[in-house]
Amino acid sequence: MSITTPLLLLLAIIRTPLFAIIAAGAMLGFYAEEIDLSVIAIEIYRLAEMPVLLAIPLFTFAGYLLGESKASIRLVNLTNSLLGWMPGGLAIVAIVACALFTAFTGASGVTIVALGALLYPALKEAGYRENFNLGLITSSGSLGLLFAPSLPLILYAVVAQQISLDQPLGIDQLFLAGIFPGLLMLFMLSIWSMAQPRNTQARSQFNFPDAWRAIKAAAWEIPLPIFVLGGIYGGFFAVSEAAAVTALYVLIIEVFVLREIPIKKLPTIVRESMMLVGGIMIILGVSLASTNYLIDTEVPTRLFEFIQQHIDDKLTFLILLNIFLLLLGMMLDIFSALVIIVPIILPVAMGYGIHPVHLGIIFLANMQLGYFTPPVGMNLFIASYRFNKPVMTLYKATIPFFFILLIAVLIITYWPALSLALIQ
Amino acid sequence: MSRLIKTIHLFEDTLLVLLLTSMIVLATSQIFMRNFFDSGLVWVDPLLRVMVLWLGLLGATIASRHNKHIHIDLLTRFFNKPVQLATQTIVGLFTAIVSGLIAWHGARWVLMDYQDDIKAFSGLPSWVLEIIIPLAFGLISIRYFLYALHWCSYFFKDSPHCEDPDS
Amino acid sequence: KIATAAPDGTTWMKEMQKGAKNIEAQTQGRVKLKFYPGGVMGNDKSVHRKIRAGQLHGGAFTAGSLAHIYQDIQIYSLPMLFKSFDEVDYVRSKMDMKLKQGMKDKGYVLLGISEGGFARILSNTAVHNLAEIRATKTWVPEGDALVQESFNTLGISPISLPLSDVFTGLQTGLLDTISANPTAVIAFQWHTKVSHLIDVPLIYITGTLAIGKKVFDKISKPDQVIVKKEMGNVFKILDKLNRTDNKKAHQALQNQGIKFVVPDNEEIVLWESLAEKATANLINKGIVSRTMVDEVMQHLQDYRSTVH
Ligand code: NA
Ligand code: NA
Repeated sequence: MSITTPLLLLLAIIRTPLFAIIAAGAMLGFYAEEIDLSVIAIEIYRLAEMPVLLAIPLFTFAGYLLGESKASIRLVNLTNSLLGWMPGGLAIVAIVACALFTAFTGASGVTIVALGALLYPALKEAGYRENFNLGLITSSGSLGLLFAPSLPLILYAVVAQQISLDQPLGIDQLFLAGIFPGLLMLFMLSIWSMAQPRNTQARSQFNFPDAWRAIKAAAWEIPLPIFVLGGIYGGFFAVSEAAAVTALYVLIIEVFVLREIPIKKLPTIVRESMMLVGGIMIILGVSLASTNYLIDTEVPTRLFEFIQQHIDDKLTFLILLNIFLLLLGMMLDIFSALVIIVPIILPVAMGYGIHPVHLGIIFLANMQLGYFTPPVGMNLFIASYRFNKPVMTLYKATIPFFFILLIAVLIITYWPALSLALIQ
Repeated sequence: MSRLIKTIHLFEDTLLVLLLTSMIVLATSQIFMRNFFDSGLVWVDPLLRVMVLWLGLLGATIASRHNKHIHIDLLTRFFNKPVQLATQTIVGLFTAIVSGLIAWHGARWVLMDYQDDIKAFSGLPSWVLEIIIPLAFGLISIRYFLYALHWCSYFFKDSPHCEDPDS
Repeated sequence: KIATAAPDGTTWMKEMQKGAKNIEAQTQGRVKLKFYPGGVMGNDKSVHRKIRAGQLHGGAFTAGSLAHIYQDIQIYSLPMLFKSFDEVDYVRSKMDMKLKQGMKDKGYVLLGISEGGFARILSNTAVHNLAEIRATKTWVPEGDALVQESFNTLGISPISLPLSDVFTGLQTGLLDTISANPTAVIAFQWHTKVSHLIDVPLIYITGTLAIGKKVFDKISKPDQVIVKKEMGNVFKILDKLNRTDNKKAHQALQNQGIKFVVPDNEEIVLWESLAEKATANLINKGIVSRTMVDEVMQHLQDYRSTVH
């Protein structure tokens, strides 16, 4: 433990695949405890014993298909025709469209690439400042994280279900819990957008024929959110089944009805999307093993006892938790952070009386900030690449958005009812 | 050699597409059966879950073709070329060893289940479902070993390119 | 190192921990029992794999989840086998040892068998008879061939889901009907999602504590005796506690306003005849063995003839 930990950490920051680092840690631990190393494979096999995991490849595939089609254009047209008349209209359009798109495509950077191309020139034309436009699009790229059926929400439920809880924790609970905190973020960003100075005062009028045309154009995609949420809450299907229906529906619509994706391209889309899924699943698998080692050696219990000696109240704990998660979000991508950290902090947080669903929302809200927190927030690099701007420019452009969403994160953290109102 | 590699790639890609398609079909027909006929096949749900494991590990194996696994890069951008070559060689070797160990111990486990004739569901032998673990990690191990060889070979050539082996 | 799905702080865990303390004291620390509660080691299958790999040494299982190791361990769960707790007590006094021996032959030492009570049918729709139950979506525990086959014979086409999905299933309407023992119904909060209970003891449920024989044999003979004796006591206490807990829970369900339905005689006769048929099917399909079923039936007959 003494020499190996810094060695593994060093390896971790020079591009070693994280799964190898986690697996090595787990194997060293099991070896020291004289536990047969085949336990690693047994733990990885538990990936085949979690019914909800099915949702991950299926939603990811559907998201990739949507990203490849022209759904992004229709979505922007639709939101524009419905919301464009409001003060700060186009910016609000951008925020809402990004959130919806991210919820379905799983915050993998697709939003910035697909929607950014449409929204960035449009915002510029509407007279917004350059920095505002860049900041808005970069920070909106992770905005839908708290809305169903986003991948991180599902993954949090999967990981939390592995930990001993007093009450069952369902994905549907997390889906409900994310609604108000997600809306709070949308609302705060919208207010900020309305307050922005613009060069032109042109504001589009609500125009019924235009709106109707946009609705008709998006007629195939509009049922999707209703499908997913209505299907789950109406009791027609479980979350994993909603994912299957979504995948089949999107496949049929984009490939056979709208014919925006040629069949020839499907194998590539399957491969690209499943590489992302594989990257997440292999980390989840080996982290089941490392978590198992931690449980075997009772690390979470001892960690809780240690922390409890130094932190007396829930409030202090929450403040430290926020700082820790922000730092974490800067270093780790959301999926790795989820599978590595949640098993350790969830038992501790529950010891301080934090509801596991609330912790999930806190965790994801913090991680959402991490997507565009310098120096390594993924979306900063994607935006820099997409809009051909230096990363430093994006650092500056995102600062106000960072602070607005930071306030939202703090509200979410210290006001549990916002997350828990719908599930209690 | 490159022909063998191409065949393996094609095999992986085909299996991946087949798995995903049959998952979508199986899962949706299960919903259909349940909602309209109040029935469903018992083996579909456990099979779907095993397919998730296969799909995930296969995706991970394919990701290792291009070293596209999730990683953190804080330091290497500040390194000069020789240091980069050295660190990436170490990264490749380390990942190859770790994956190889998982494959080895996974194979031991699968063999044990084979010898003891352990059953999964509907009378299916467990080892058939579990074999993906040693296979996938074995392939990943080989790929990272090649990755290490690729980086390390630049010490002996004066090629200016530092790219992934497959690109 | 023993894994269990029972959460920390439950009666089950408390009694187990008491027993573990006694064992440690009496063996001067040579035998220590460490529990991993709340299912943190994974589901039953995962626990079995870890026992085989040597990371774990035992686990608490329902009889159904040991069936793939020794099929007759679930013999008490034949549909509508027992009519009263007195019958249960009589048959178990004759058969428990036999089941323990059966598990031992398959490499597991059973430290005890504890009563889980009678599973009854509960539903969120108004069900009064079999015909109405057949029209609902009925849950069976995933992988439980015995319950699955029994329900099939009753003409119910069941939906198999893991335990963890039942609450959500009831909430969303994916399921209407479940069968479970009263304490489980309350522990998993299912009582908040159902409106009717058919007051027919359908299936007698048991749980066990199984230790891998290899590990158990490493303990010295005198220490083995201590472990068996102490755990035997724990299971006696648990059996009693569980029975009162289940009776209390049964009462609590009624107090909650769940409608208790008592089918008329004609309906009961129908259920019993189908249950008999189900038992025959279970034997034919090799889910339980004929010799063990015959033996249980013989004991029941003996008991019934002495009482009446
Ligand atoms: Na775990
Ligand atoms: Na990040």
